[in-house]
Amino acid sequence: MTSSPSQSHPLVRVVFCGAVDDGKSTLLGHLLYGTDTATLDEISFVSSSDAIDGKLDYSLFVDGLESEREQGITIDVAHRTLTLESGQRLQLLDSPGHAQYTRNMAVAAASADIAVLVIDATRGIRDQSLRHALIAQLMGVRHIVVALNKLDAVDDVARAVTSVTAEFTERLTAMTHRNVAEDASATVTVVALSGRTGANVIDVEPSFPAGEWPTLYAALEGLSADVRASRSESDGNAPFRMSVQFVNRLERTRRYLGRLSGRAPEVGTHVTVFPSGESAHIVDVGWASNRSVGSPVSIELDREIDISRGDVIVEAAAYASLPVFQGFLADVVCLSPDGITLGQTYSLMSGPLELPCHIDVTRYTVDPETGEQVVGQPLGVNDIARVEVSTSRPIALTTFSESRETGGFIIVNRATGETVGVGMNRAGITRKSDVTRHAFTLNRQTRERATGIRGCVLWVTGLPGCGKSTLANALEVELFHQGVHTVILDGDTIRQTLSEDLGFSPEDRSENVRRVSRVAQLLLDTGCVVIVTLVSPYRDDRALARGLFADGDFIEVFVDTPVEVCAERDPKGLYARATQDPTMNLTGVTSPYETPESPELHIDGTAPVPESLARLMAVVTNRRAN
Amino acid sequence: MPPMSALLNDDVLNELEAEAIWALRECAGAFSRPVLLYSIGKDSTALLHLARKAFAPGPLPFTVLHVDTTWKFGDMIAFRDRLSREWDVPIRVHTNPAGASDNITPFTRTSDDYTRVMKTEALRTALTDGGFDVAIGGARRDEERSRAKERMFSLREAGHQWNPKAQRPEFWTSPNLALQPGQTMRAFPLSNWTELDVWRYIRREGLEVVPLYFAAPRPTVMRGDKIIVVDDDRFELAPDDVVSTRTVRFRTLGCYPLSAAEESSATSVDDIIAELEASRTSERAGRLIDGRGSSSMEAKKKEGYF
Repeated sequence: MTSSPSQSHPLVRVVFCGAVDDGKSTLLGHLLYGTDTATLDEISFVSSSDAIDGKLDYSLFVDGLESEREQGITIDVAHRTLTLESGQRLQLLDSPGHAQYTRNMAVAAASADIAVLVIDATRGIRDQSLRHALIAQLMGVRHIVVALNKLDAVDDVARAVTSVTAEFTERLTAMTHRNVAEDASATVTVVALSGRTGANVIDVEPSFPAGEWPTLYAALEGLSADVRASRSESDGNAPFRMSVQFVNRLERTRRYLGRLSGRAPEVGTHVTVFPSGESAHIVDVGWASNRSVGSPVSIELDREIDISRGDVIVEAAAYASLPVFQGFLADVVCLSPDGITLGQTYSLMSGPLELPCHIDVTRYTVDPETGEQVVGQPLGVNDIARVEVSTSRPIALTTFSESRETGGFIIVNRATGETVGVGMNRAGITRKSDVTRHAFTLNRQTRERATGIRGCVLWVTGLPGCGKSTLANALEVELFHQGVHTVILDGDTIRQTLSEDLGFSPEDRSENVRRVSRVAQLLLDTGCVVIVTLVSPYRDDRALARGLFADGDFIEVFVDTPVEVCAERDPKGLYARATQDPTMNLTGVTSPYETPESPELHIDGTAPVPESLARLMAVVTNRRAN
Repeated sequence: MPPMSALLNDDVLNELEAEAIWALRECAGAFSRPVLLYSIGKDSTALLHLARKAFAPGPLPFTVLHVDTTWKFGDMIAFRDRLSREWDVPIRVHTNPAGASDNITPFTRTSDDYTRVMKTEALRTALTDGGFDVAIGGARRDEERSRAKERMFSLREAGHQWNPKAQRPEFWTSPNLALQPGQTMRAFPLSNWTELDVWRYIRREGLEVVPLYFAAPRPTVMRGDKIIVVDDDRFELAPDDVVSTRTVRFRTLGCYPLSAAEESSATSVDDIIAELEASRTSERAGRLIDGRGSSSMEAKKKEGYF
């Protein structure tokens, strides 16, 4: 055990935000310069650049990109370290004020403890100032320092400060009251200064009313001590919880690696894994240095359980109270110029967890000027909204106020990889854990050990007539001879049975895919190889199907045959009928087929069957049971 | 009891260590072919040590690669080979064959040209040929102004290009690590470490570093106001060069004709920490390749330099 009397998490993060040209970079640059944090070679670089009125352009200490210096604005977050005289270490995050780069401001605010909101006292409060204040508060920043800047250009400092402060406080209060949950520990501090002259940044400005406002330095010193104190209270009282980042397969055992949340686990601790519900005892625990929340930890269990990246290991006694939901109420900041489309399938990522999700409903978006909640607006770039999110299966997300790390998530466009939004979970709304599954004696792993092969779902997709069924048949025969259990879920059979009520509209096709993927999921529990042969023309549908399975269990096989070849083969006479009947709904002819972007196996449908069969066999037989 | 600042420093190291190990484990968990780029310097030695801690008691679940320009100090190569043996970590070495075939050396080419061919292009080729989808490096944000702007997980478009104006947002421990065809990732687990943190960590963990970091009498010549150590007989002396012995050490190690030494009396890690605590210059001031134009590092990074 660590016996260090000191506290954990000593780094305090401070975001500098506010509207464009209100002087954030200049103020931060002055702070670095005045505390001797800037290095001599930086100072010589800044001095040799174009000076303004013969004075240093302090913003150049932080605007590190060429295009930033060209345009005189901040584009992305600069990270600088400042050590206060007390020894307290601060990470200063300079963020852009320009509306176009609001996403980068959100990045800086997300991890910050303190927000220095810079306001040009000569221009007053702008929408962007309030938008930043709201984003900071929604992202869990408890302490706001309102830095009224450019007071060197004001005649009556006291009057300017009083009037801007009054207006800001009124508008911020209205906005906070409506949109942010009550937090008794939240504070707002006003400092009055000039980033250009350095007045009240580090040293008290003698021409300002004495004792009226603290310097920025003093304010940061005081608040960072508060932040540290409140952290030490909250650390490490909850039950042990760890999201699995990586499974290290060692010669004789497996080690599960992650970050500690809650109490430190010990040898003998009884744990349960979400989502499998399987339990085991810890037989070994590895640490890097100390054992506080966020520390790296690795554990070994006394029996082999199927655990993948993104699974959650918790103290067994706490498993029942794990917050498991499939629908969430969340605050979202939209980061994409294209907005977020309701109902579209995106990826939700939270820590190592990744799975398909939808934004189902926008309850309201916030008007940053007034704080009013507007109903019925689409989700556009920089919008801050309260939404309902649903995921493809139940997940164990905490609320954001309990933990930023396990209650925050991002939303990613599956086709482009772009991060389109960032979300803070406020409450679970759809619980799928009310039905508890019975723990049957025989499970998938037991059955797989009997055959020696790890089961999987081969999702064979492609145009009608591309050769899906032919390949599936050949594969099944081959596996049968090797004693491997298989089952085929063929599109035509399903259409005549399970899905006899469905037609061929996009909605019905999606529903068909959903049913087939759920059946495949049940069959996979028997440890067999499930071969699905289904046109399944839509990427989103296939992604949803994939999302039901653990990593590696879902193998997408794309049988790629040109539509002309399919039409010529036409084993079921579909293409011939479609030429007769233009109203017929046939994939590849009258309705679209969305080609898989990265299937596990890409098969040339015009290649000889034995060749394709060999490739399929290799994939299946390489998966040994464990 | 040690003074408060020492305790604070130790806590800072624990937090930085936790963050770095988290990032290393993400590289192993979310990518199929990670590679750790080992440059032999203090930062990448600390990084390699962190990687061993991250996956202990198992072996590293990824390749370790050194891009060798063949102009490293002799001491560096000896150190690399010894560390590889003692830590039982295989280190793969890649050199751009163009160096030998086209006689590209720091003496025959400008430093920009040389760096482009022997470092940037060599790295790009090694990454592409190896099919690596994430390259892990020891770069820190306090090194240089454009580094201060970079994400911990930094996306590279096809051809390993960095687009600093369109970086992916990065939140909490939920980075977006999804790659589109052709894209790769660079990961910088030491992003938030300072030069002093690295030295304090080296002291705390009892790590060895290349002896060139410690002051010793060495044969040197002056190039402008920079002190250059004459490491071997490949050094091309100018007619008016005077080789004289100076007691110097390196704050940063690169190719020997392009790394300037500093006069120093620091012969131990404790001495170095004391020296840095009093220093007001930045570490990369000794790198000759950075000095060319105020955006030189950013320009190189856009091309794929680490």
